[in-house]
Amino acid sequence: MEILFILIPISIIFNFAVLIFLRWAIYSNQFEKLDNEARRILKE
Amino acid sequence: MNWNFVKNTSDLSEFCENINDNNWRVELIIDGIHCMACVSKIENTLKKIKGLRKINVHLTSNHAIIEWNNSLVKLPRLVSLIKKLGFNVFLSSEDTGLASKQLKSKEVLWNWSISLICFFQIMMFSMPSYLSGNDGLDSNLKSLFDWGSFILIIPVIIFSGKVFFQNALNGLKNKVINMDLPISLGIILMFLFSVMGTVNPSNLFSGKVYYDSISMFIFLLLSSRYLEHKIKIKSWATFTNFFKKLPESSRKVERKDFRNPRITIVSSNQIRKGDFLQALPGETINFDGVIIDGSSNLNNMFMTGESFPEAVGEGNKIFAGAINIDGLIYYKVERLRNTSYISKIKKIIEDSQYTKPAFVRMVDKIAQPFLISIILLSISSCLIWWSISHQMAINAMISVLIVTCPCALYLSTPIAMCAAANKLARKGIYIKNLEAFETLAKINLLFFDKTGTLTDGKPKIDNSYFTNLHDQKYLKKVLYGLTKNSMHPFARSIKENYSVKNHKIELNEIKEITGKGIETKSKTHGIIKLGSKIFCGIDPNDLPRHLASCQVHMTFDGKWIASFSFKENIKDKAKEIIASFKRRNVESLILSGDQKKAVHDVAKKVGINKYFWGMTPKNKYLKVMNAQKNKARVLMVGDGFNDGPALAQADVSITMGDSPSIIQTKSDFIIISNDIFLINFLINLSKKTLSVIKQNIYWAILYNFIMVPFAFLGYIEPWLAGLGMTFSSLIVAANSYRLNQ
Repeated sequence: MEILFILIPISIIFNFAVLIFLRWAIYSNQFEKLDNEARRILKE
Repeated sequence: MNWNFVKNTSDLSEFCENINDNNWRVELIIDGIHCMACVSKIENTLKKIKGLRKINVHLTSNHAIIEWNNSLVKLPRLVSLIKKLGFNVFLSSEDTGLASKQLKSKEVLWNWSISLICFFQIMMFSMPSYLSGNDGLDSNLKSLFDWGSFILIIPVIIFSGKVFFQNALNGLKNKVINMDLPISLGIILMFLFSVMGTVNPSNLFSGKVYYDSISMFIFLLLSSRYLEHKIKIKSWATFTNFFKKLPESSRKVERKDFRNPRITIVSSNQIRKGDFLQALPGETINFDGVIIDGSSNLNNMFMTGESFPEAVGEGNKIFAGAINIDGLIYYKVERLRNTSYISKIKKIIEDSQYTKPAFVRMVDKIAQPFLISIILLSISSCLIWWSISHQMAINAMISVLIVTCPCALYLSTPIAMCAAANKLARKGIYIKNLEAFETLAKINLLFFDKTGTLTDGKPKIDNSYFTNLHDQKYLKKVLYGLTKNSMHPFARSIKENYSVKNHKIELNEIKEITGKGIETKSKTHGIIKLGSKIFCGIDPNDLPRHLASCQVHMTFDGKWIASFSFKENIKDKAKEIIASFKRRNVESLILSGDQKKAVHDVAKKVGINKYFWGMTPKNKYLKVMNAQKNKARVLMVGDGFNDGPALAQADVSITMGDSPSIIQTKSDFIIISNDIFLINFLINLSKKTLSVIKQNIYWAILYNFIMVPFAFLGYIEPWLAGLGMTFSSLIVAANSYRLNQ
């Protein structure tokens, strides 16, 4: 069970990595205008 | 924007509206408004300033409308006052509003995502404690998971929980306890005890930590608030989409020769009253005006909610927001943007959001004492339990704070009103006064105006009689020439009936005397008059029976030439709606200024037994007052044309029709449509709205009365309390949203 003492902190680091990635995604407008890609197909 | 430069009146007119003399009106966006407390703070601070005439701040859209007297106080001073309170002020142009809204919604999404991700992780970390049974977890492992949860909860509390703390503090600053205070206290307490239990696992409370409860609670709260926010925005968006921004540029006609016009494209800001504009097919009409040349079909969907095209031509009035379907027209600008019909409707809707029905105001008063007693209960439960079991004391204290849900008091009513208003607006019904919902449900007497309300205001020629002295064709040409430019319903009907292509009759100096008739001087015939008997100088006793009942007559130099009788079209379903009111035991009457026979005919056709004819506006008003003295609750329906005082006096009033006077007259509801059956829809919806609000309040009372005692007695764990609270607020929001369907 001692391995947990390494794995849990690693998982916390992963958690923060996810948060950083999410922050980038939200603030660079990835979640705005979600229909545009769908409509692009029709336009072309 | 540097507000210091806005000192001169000339600067003001660029983005403010001059109401009259020194009175100005401006629309601003105030950033940083989180709750009603902020709204009250701004409004109350500014209301104390001498020179401020009116201020309305809107919570959802962050718009504020300020009217002030520029000789008593200048705009920069008002703006700096708002800034000192801690808010940012912008001009209400589409760009700034949109940008700040987008930023805010990103922030909301980010905070919610943090709570989501950390919630999952913390729940995983808390599972071992639950699964480890009675022996408990090995203390090293427990420390591991506790410290891990602690690290993860910090971003949740700092970012996701920030909004609750801010709201609670803002409330306290304004000496108001709002719903977020118990929530904030609950979160802080859980956090403190969790930290104590993490640092010292063998403390009084055997190291119990609440990280899972905190994260779940915050996550659920943010989720339900986000849903409520979306519901409100959806209701509001329908209004703002309705009045989407009008085109930036207009086609101005430089030369008035419409065969060979010289068009320049100018910015809409530079158009002035009296300018001539060209509207191409497919364009949206930019300003309120009157058509000078050309004809087309217009889509007035913004007004009537239906896209059935209306044919228009020379002399017809057109309104900003209408879509020109298929013809090329030239029109003269009569009103600028801020005074246009469409913007008046917008203002009515915005202003109506501030009115509150009586029982909602009463409920607002209860909210404060309720929240104070919750906090006291929580403290007392802690003290009572302390001697028995420390653990139960903490549980009870936290649960009482969290389980309570006064959301029905705060949230459901605005959502219900918004949803109802939205549903009505989609049908062309606009609410001016939300309080009227209540009175509408109690009416027992209906007064109808006749022309324009029960009838469609477009009379048709029933019978026409011509003299033998002149050729009928020739007379018809004269009639067309006389009525070509008149807006009177009788004249228009004559014009439509006798319109000829090449009339070639030039009549000079056509004079119209409103309400009486049209006259002109002709070389061949002398003075030609077209109008009422009195106007033409005809003695009713001289006329044979069939002519005496005609409304419009024509004379050449006093000699009788022609007479016309008109019949009015009753609106569709007028009969049905009178009957449906009868079934509800509501009696309907007609109050009209028209002649006895006309009123009698209409009354008979729609099934009304009692009618009053020849009534002046004052008589109508007196009738309403008399009825009220006899304990009647009166609903008055009119077109605002000559029944203003009666409409203002009635308990509830509705103006309907398609003339601008329906907006100017004081009334509770506006129906911009000719469908009289909508009155039924309105009454049904108002009853439904009231019942939904009452249901929400009953649910809130029931829920709190059951759950709070359970929490007090320690039966509810904090996480369960959080769950209960969010589900209760979701039930209430969903119930209100039903109205939108």
